Amino acid sequence: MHRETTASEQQAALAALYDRCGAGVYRFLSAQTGDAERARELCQETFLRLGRTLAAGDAPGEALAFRIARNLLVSDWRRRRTEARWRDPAPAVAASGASREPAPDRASEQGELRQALASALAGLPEALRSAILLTEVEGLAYRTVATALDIPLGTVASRKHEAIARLRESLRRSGHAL
Amino acid sequence: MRCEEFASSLEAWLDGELGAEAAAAAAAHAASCPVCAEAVGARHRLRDALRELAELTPPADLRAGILAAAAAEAAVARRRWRPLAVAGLAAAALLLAAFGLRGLLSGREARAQHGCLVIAYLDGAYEEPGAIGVGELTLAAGPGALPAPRQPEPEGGKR
Repeated sequence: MHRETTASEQQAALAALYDRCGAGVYRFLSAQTGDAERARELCQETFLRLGRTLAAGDAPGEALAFRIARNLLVSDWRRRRTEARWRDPAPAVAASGASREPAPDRASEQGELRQALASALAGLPEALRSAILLTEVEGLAYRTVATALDIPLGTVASRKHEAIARLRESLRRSGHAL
Repeated sequence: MRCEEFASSLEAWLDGELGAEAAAAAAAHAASCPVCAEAVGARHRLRDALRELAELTPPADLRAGILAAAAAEAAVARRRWRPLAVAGLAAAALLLAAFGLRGLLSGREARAQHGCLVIAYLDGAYEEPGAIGVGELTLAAGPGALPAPRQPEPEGGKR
């Protein structure tokens, strides 16, 4: 009887954790891979590992979720030895069916900017890209990002600063100023 | 606050990482300096573009799929451990039974041996009760529980 209750509680805790940061983990993985199916697989594996952590009696949080996701991502990249699929982010966006549709008169301009930004982001080293995605897109606190990326607090700010400078330079070269 | 100072703290300010006093100073400077206000606007545009680029909603069935997979994995883990737990309990029970039986047997053996010695004491074979632990039996059974050892009969006294 006790075992069923414990399993049920673990299931509820995992559901609560997914509700808290599942979308963010999926977004992070999608932005890093540019592949909706890979993002889905990695997201599922991330939460299965979090479930094992819960079963072991620990109480994982948002930082550990992103840390596991990022570690899985890096392992996946090492296996595949390429980031080529990221360079065309269209499949991930199209597969999700969740992208905002721009007004027709702005579609071309936004499409160009979007493509330029995607290329600039893809051109960043993974460490800088992770830092900017977690701070800028997910809005995580620097302390959480430091734990997720296993880096000192000050390094979060310096990586983000470096990432923004490189993105701007890349956008400027492609004729976009942001 | 000077423009250089504002520029160096802009990221931390936008990310809410500045203390209340420094954040208020940054906000006041941005409100009074058109150049820095434009820098803030540019940062907001870049942030919006990045968020729009990465804006994705997870597939609707991802949550249910994860929870189902986690439940299945937990059930497999429980099934995997159950036979081991049963085997462990059985082994522990066997060990307890074996040691318990041995203890019981050795206790009975000791009591039997002790009984023989007491009989020997009562027959007069031992004069000192302490030498065979008879005193312990006396204490357990109460004072005077053991009679005095039988005195040897004089030779030729009984036919």
